[in-house]
Amino acid sequence: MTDSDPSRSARDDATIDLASFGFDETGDAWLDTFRDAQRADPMGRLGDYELLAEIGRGGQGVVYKARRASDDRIVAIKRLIGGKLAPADLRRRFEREMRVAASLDHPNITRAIDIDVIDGHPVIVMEWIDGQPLDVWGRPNGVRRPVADILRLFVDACDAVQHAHIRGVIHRDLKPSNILVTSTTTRDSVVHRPVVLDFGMARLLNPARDDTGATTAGAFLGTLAYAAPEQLSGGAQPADALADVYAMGVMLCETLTGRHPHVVSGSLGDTIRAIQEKTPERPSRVAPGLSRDLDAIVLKALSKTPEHRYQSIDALAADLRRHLAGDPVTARRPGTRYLAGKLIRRHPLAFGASALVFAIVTALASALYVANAREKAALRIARTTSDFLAETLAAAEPDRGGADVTLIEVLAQAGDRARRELADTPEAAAQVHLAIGKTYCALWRWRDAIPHLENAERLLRADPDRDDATFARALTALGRAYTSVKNPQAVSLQREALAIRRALFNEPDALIAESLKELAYALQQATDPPQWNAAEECYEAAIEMFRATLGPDHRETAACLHNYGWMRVRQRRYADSVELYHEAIEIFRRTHQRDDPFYVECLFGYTAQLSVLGRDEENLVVVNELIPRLRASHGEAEVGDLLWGRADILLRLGRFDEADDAFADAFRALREWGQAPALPGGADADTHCDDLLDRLADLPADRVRPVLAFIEEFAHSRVVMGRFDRAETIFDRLETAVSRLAPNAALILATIQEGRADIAIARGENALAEQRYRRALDLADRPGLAFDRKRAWLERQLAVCRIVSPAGADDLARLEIACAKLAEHDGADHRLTRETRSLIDELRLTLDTRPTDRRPAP
Amino acid sequence: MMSPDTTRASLLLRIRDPDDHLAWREFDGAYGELIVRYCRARGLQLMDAEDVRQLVMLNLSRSIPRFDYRPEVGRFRDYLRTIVRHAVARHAPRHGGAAIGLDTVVLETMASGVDDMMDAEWDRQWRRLHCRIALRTLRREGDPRHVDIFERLLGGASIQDAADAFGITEASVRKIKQRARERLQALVARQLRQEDGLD
Repeated sequence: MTDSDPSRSARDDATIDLASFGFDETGDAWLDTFRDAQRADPMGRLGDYELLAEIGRGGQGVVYKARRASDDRIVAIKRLIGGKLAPADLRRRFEREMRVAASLDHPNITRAIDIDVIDGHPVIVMEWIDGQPLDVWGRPNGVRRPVADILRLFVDACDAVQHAHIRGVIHRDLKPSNILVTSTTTRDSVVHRPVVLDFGMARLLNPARDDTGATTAGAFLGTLAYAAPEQLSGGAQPADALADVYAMGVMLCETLTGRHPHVVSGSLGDTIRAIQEKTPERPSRVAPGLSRDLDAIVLKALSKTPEHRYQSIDALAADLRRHLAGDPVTARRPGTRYLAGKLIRRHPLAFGASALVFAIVTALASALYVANAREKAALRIARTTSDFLAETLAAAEPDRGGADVTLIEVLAQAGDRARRELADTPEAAAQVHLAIGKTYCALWRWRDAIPHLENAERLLRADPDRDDATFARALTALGRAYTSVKNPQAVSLQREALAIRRALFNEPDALIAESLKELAYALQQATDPPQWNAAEECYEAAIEMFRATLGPDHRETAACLHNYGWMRVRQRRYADSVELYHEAIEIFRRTHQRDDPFYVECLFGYTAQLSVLGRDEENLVVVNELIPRLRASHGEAEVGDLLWGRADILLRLGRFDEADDAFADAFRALREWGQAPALPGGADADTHCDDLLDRLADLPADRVRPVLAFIEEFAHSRVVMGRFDRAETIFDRLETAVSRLAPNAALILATIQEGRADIAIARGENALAEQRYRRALDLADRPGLAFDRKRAWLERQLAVCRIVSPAGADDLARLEIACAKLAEHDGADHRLTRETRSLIDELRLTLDTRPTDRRPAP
Repeated sequence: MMSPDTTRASLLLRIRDPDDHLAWREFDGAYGELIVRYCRARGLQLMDAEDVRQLVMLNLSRSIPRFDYRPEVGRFRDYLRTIVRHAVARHAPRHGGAAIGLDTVVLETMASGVDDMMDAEWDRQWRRLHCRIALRTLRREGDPRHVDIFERLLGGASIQDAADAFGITEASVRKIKQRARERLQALVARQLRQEDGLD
């Protein structure tokens, strides 16, 4: 029987074939056949590259792992299937598209190393990414990672796709195997980075067009599961960026729920019908515990109609960020344009330094700066609320030519409307009240915020179908407002929010960390006495959890460090606070976020504590950075306090000429703030001082006291510089002005007396100094923290004064008492306390060694 | 994801529908690899082999729907081999690479009953294909522990090594090996019948 023998049946052929496998032979011939089948055939070379393995195969291309012989580098090589067979014009298009894709430069997009034609084959050589496909990373061993981790990763992936979109490159083949996640272990945590592969490949061949002959083959090798409905309709138009939005929605749904939004395991026709016609199930139904907001986000991304989807991948990322931040997401309501910019410009800046004169420098400067940042933060929050609030804001459009409208007025209107129109819809009412409350919070108007937040909390608590994640947000916001007005109920609210989040999410989780941070803040601010230990535990846990979930360099970590630092300030542990502020600042510096408004807030805290600790050299550097930033964002009038602070630092450093220049700068800012006309350029500090003293009566009444206070500070600088006569002259004029314009300014008067006493000491007129210190103490004999601190300092000065005129052990004892009082008010770390402590130590040595015959008679 | 219920027979029937993308995907996954390995063994570079694969699949998708499969005239594996050989021959000079109409040539050849030269390499690669398919089925359906033991033997371990590694007797290992042999033989036999349309 031969092969061509027609009598041989097919069944005979099958038998012969089976025998060729070696099954009928003795021994292991059959096993050798199977071993041979398992053996990997060498893939050969392509130019300088040794092909190691086929990594992926899609409808349009194949990817190989390869080693470059010249440097042993591992790379990925991609080529178009059938590239050599393609017509020349298609190949040119391919090469052009590859160059565009290769031009993408983003940390989350795989980088092209080379585009070449090797042995006639156009290829693109890419960096090798050692990572897991997104679906494997998202659910290791089938268990979902923390939701917040997943969302943050998707935000990064969306940023990468957006980067490509705005450069005209659509992916069109997004799927888990095209997003690899690398994991890098740092000292404190593991950082996960998504890398999007294969940009530009899918755009090349449109399955709907058969202009190459290869497209039919490509079509059946494509991936349907992540294709948007419009991609499957076979229309002539190629799918656009919204197809990428859809694909991202599918992957998000799969990662969160463990299931594809549609049934894709059946026939091709069934799969296509499901994608095009069937509404996907809500993710929270598949995976209980997911929030309604996430449902809305996923379902919006999966809208069958492109017009109903997020209109950009960036919009999807923005909603994910909002959800991570605990803010309302736009997916739950259609968006509305909002004229934020115009309202910001027209909102009168009601804040000034007048209310803050007697505060310490940092608080004064912080309030000035934050006043502007608050506006921006508040309006950002307002923009993301429901149509309801956005409509109210839009109705107050400044460009209608009406009177100035303030954001506060609009919020009040929105509140009235909510009470009238939403009485029958508690869920909507809760959302609107929460939004209004959070907007007030962003303006630091806690007492306005509280009624709205209480409404939101009450409505949500009464709703059996409430979304727990939203409820936790409402509790957190109300707790924060309560903390700010020192209502101790803040603690129980934050504890409840923390418990809810712990039930919803697995630790570590960034939202749990946020609750820990807020609870810490409540424990330190809203309880009396402050629960320092409990707050410290919460801060430590929050920081560790922020680092674990967001990485070591995240803004939230910096914010937590800042709050912790503030707690240390209140505890008067200044050295500790400085370290915490410094750590927060370094986060912004490392991540190049110096333009973040919160960076400036951290710098304020830092400079204040450096001042307290007397670390003047370091402080000068910080202040020199802070001043131009504040000047650029808020104008000259807002940097006055910093300029005074800078002058003060230079004074303490003994750099008097520079201090004088700094005082001149400070006076210029003070004039602008105080609404005094400017002097010709080049006027020195003394000229400014005298001119202002002449104009005091012309200044607005609420600016007089602060101006007097600053002039007093300037006068004191003359004392330090040894210009006693000049100082005396200014003190005389100040006393006259105070008695006429601000007769109740006892603190200023006490400080003027203190200054005169300092002059007396410097001149060696100790008895006169003692007299003046006592006069100052009398003037400062008033209730209030500022007066308490002033008295403590005056007593210290008095004690020193008496020792200088030499005295004995009793005087040293008085100085010890004064030092103790200083420590009680300012803390042991405060430079003034430490200087006093040092003085005591020196004097003790002196007293002990003094010969007894030199001691004065009692 | 391919349906585990797809049989070889139904696959060869399903690919008659060029729009059954899942079936074509499975077909390409199996037979495409055969084509590439054959071409590589015949001296083509990998990329050229991939081009041949693509070309063959493309032309198959056009010719299969109207192809009247008669095993007594020509078997599928021979039909496929002929297409591939012609594609290799046309592709090797690397001139242009325009699509070629293979279907007419092959059909005429089949109709005449002439099947020219034996091709040992094709047979070898074809056997390797069926071995891989059968092994995949065994791994999917077999007892996991027995599969592990068999894999150890497949990797070159002796009976004694496998027994030591798994803490069982050599007799047990031999028994497991024999069962695997029988199972693989049955699987391959079924695959061959289905390929030839006998099942």
